[in-house]
Amino acid sequence: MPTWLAVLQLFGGVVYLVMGADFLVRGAIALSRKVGVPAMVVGLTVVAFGTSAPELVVSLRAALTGYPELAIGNVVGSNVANVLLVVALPALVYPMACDQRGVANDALFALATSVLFFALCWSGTLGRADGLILLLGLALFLGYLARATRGDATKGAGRLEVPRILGLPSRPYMIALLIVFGVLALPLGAQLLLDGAVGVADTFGVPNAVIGLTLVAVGTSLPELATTLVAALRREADVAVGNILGSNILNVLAIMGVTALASPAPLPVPPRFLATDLPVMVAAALALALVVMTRPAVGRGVGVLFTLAYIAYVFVLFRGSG
Amino acid sequence: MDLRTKLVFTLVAVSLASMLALGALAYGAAAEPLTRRTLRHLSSLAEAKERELEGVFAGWRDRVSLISSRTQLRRSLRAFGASGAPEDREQIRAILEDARAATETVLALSVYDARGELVAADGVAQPDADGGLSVPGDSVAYLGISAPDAGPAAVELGAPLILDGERIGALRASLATDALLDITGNYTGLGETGEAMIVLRGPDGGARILNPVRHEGGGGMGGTARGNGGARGADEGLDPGALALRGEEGLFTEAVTDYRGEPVWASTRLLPELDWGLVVKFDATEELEPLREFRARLLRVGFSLSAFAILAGILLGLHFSRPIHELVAVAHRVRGGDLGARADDRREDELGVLAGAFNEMGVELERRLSLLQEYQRFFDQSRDLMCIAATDGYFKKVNPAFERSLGWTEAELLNRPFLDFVHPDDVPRTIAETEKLKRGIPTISFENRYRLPDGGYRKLLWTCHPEPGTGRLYASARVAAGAPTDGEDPDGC
Repeated sequence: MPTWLAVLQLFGGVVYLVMGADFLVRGAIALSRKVGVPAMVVGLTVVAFGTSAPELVVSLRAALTGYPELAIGNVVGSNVANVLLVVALPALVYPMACDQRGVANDALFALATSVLFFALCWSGTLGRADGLILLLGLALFLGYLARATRGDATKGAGRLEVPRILGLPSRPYMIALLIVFGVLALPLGAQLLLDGAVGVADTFGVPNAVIGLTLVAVGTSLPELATTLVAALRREADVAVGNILGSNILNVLAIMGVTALASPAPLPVPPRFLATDLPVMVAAALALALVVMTRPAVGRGVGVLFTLAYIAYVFVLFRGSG
Repeated sequence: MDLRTKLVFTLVAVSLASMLALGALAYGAAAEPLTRRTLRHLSSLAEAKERELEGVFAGWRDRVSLISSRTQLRRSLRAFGASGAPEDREQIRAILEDARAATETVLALSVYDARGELVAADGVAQPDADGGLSVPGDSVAYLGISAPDAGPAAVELGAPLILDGERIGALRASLATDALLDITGNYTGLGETGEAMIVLRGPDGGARILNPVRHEGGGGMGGTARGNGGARGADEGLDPGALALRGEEGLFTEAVTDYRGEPVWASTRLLPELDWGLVVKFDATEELEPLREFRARLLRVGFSLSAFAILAGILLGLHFSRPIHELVAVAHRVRGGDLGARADDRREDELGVLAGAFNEMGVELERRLSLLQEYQRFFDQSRDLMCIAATDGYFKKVNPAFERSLGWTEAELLNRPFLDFVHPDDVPRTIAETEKLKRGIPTISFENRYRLPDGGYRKLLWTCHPEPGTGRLYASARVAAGAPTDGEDPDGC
């Protein structure tokens, strides 16, 4: 595959994924409103899973089409990029508050989730039993969220994503159009992204795992990065850290849980993940937890430190593969 | 639904439709020459293989013709026919041995007398060698293929032995098929799946493949390709071997399957002299693979390029919706009383014009309000009584001078017919004056007495202008000098 086509597909894949997730979330929220589903339930299900939909379809498709290293790389790389990039870059623009109620708990939950995932991967494969354990963790997390947001109907949605209320359709056929378009665009975007990623990996002789950890992971995290950056520029990034932590927890519990459960064979975990990438993911989660528990905001200093750490990590990744 | 989503939908639909149309055009334009080139390649391969086969057969025929033309062989056969002596038979066998040793191709040679009975043989045992031999015509003829249980298959050729114009017997030669297998076993130019097959007519009438096949599932040497009759199911395609044997020569791309049941593109030939069929074929999937890959690439490029349309839709949507949202916010501020709120009208497009018009409206609104406030000030601060009344007999609006001069509150004045406040003696004249006003005749100077809350009266001097069409009366009154009276006014008004 020519390089230009691979890059074009990467771009097309990211755009379709972002648009598909956006349409699906808006369609689902509109539908929930129409049938009278409580906002908290919508926040905990539709919005949470809708925003993780790009990562989910990419990982699921990668696992089902014979690229397990891309599936795991996507989630691990996404979680590393979320902390070291999506938190750090906006913090360079404006300090991001992290002293809201519940954020410290989320940070600990995210750290525990990372450690659990590392432990499950230790055997060298990720099977259906591991998937079930992760989904059990997901049920616990959702239960905790439901209890934490009880009595505050809008908090569930707000903690996981800045909801896009504007542009919610009310006519049934427009709701259907949004949902259908979203459902079609997500797998299409995933396929384009994966094809492009594999094409780039082939062209430059880089292992698929490295592409999964970097290009695919950052590609699927771009919406969060863009949203958080814009929020930081407008100095409205109050819920950003909480959202990113929620996204990291869902990445592991929901996406890897579903992927491991749906995969026909246990997903092999390449040794490089155990040696480098999973420890980096746990270290990033630990670093963010420490910052959240000791400081009122993620400041510029931490932002610079995290960004440099991400650059170093990517440098090591490509140097190790090249 | 917001503008952004509508724009995304529209742009994606338009871009996908145009790219699909372009892709379909490109696919059609590329598929046809590609298919034509593949078929030409297939046809030329079949042509080359056919020529090679004919070359091999011509070589065999020359070789057998050369052996049958040996004079010593024919003389020895005649001598044997006359004497029946074993030395003559041995002589024939020695000649056959010598001829066979000259070439590796010949596996066995046999000589038959004029009655068709075996005289001598050399080489591997030929099946049914004792069964007699009859060679039609005066030249080398193809007799068939022998496939013994043990040993390689052989092509059987026969040649008449003629001496001095008399037919004294016949020669039978069994020839190795290696040269044939070299032709069919050469897969050059046949890709990953293509192959050439020599097809013979089987005893059951079906087609039999002579050479070993390239893929598993075929009969190979002596094996039987799936026939075109009962052996093939209804859903299976035509057997190209059977087509070749039926003399249907040409290119077949539709509904043709090989011995594996795999759809193929085949070129068929019939070698009439040998009654052999020649099939050169590729798997259809291999031939269609480049087209499929091309189509998939077109789709991927199309969808990827349409991502630009999505981005453009989102950016355009933001570009257009943001000023509209700002304008809505400004409109809300104006509605809330902030008449100085202005929209950003620096854009040079229609939205800029709209914002400009909105701002002009704001300026005009502010000017008129200011004017109104000035009039209001006149209205409020005038010592003269100013009011708006209607021909229904009620005041609609009165200025504060009313309350100051007459002592009635604004509410009291508005809620009762103004005739209630008029001195009873003045009521008929006031009604008459009102009737005139109803007819559109203004009042220049009219005097009547208005009752005060304490029962006294004040004399008011009115001027009034009716508004045609609405029945509204714009009036002002001046209080006549002097203290309020008790209502007794002998002069009247």
